[in-house]
Amino acid sequence: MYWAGFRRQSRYVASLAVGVAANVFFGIIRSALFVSLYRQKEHVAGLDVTAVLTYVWVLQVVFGVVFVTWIWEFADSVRSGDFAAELVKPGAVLGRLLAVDLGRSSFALATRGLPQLAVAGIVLDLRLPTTPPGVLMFALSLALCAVAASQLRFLFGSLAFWTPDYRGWWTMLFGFLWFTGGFLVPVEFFPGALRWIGEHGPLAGLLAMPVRVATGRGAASALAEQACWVVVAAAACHSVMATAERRMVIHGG
Amino acid sequence: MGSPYGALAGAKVRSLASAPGLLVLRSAGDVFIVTMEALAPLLLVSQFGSIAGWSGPEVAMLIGVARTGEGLALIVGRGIDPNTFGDTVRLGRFDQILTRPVSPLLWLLTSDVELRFVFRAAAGAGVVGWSAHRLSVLSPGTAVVLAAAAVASALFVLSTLVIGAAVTFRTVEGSDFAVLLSNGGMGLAAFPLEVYSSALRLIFTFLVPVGLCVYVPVLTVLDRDGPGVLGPGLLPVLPVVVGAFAGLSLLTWRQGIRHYESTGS
Repeated sequence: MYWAGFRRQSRYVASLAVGVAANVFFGIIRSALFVSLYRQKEHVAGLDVTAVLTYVWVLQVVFGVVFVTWIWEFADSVRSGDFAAELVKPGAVLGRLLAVDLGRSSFALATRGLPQLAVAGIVLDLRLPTTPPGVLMFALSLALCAVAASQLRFLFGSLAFWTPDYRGWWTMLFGFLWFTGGFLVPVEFFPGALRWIGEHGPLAGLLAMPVRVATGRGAASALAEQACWVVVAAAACHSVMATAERRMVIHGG
Repeated sequence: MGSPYGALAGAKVRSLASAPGLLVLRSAGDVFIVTMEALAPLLLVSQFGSIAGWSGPEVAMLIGVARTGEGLALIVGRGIDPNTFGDTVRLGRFDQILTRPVSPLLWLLTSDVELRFVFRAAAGAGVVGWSAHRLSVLSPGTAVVLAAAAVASALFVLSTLVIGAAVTFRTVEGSDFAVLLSNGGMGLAAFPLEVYSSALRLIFTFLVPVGLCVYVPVLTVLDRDGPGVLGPGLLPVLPVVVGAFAGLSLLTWRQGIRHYESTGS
């Protein structure tokens, strides 16, 4: 299932090219902004310019994994009723959904994300892992991020079991996720308790923790926290799926 | 309401109003996103002291102008955004539009009016109003400049969408690049242009005139000078360049229609 998802995504070459162009463009804008800011101050909230530039380019990688082009597919299939066919297929529904989704996001990661990060790492002064254990931990952290993003998309998409207004809810959630996930400003710049939530809360596994692992700031503990949130989210996915399957019977007819 | 365009837009508005829940949710989401975006420069300034010499409210004014313009454009721009219009062309629906006794472009613009973007524009205007109040620069004169900036930004976004739609006649994917131009341009204009290299500044002022639409009017209102040639003195050039850009987009659109080959199936 994973490879089917991977191959499926490989068909969309043009949309991939646009995605890369958009990523690179916004990466350049953000880099320029932070380079200019760090001319005024060398250290801010424990981060120097190298750490923040690494954040910018890891963000570009993660963005393509979290805000994917197929974000509506699952919810739309629930709405249209096509999803009922999924329930008839053998095997665990949730596992199958996540495997396909992971395959697709792995393709995005491999072709769109990592090459960009590599080029940025050559052109700019970034703080990326250079030792084998460091590289391995970073790879693991990105994999956990992809799993967390898949789980998040499933949880959001399952809103469609309850309300036809899921696109409206998503607009709200998007703003929240974008800001508190640190996609607009690094979570380290948040004030007080908000910073703690941004660094350790359920959304930290998407961006903040992969950045910590990449730059080697408490990498091991960040990885452990990331894994914990994936386990919590998996439990949430299972209970939502169990409830939703019962609702699906009401919908079908 | 005498024109078919008014009737079309009215019909779409009534259909949106019949699902108020969705409209409220999406509008609230849009307002929320603009608010979050305006908070970002305040956070950055609290950490760094300023953004290239600009205060938080000053940068927020740039974001507000950009989002107001974008919101205004998207109210009517939905029918020609690459996703919607790509489907219209691919599925052969554009044939039907061409047979109608109306302007195809105006038909597309008025048939898919999207009310939630009224709220994005309003949120942007709210951010502009808040920053103008905080900076004590609100006067009839500055209000006119800011309103002109929002209208110019809206024209800029609409023109890129029209260019994107025209490109769709030749290649369905190419239009996404046009949208990247408007999204990317707006993202760039959300911060003072001092932040960027001089090449990037010039490209996004004169070639892709987003800097002229957003940055130059705000410089005028704040009575600041920008780097190099950029400054309030450029304000009179704004209508000329934006007009030329809009004209170019209409030319591209006409060229595109002339090359339209329908879908062969």
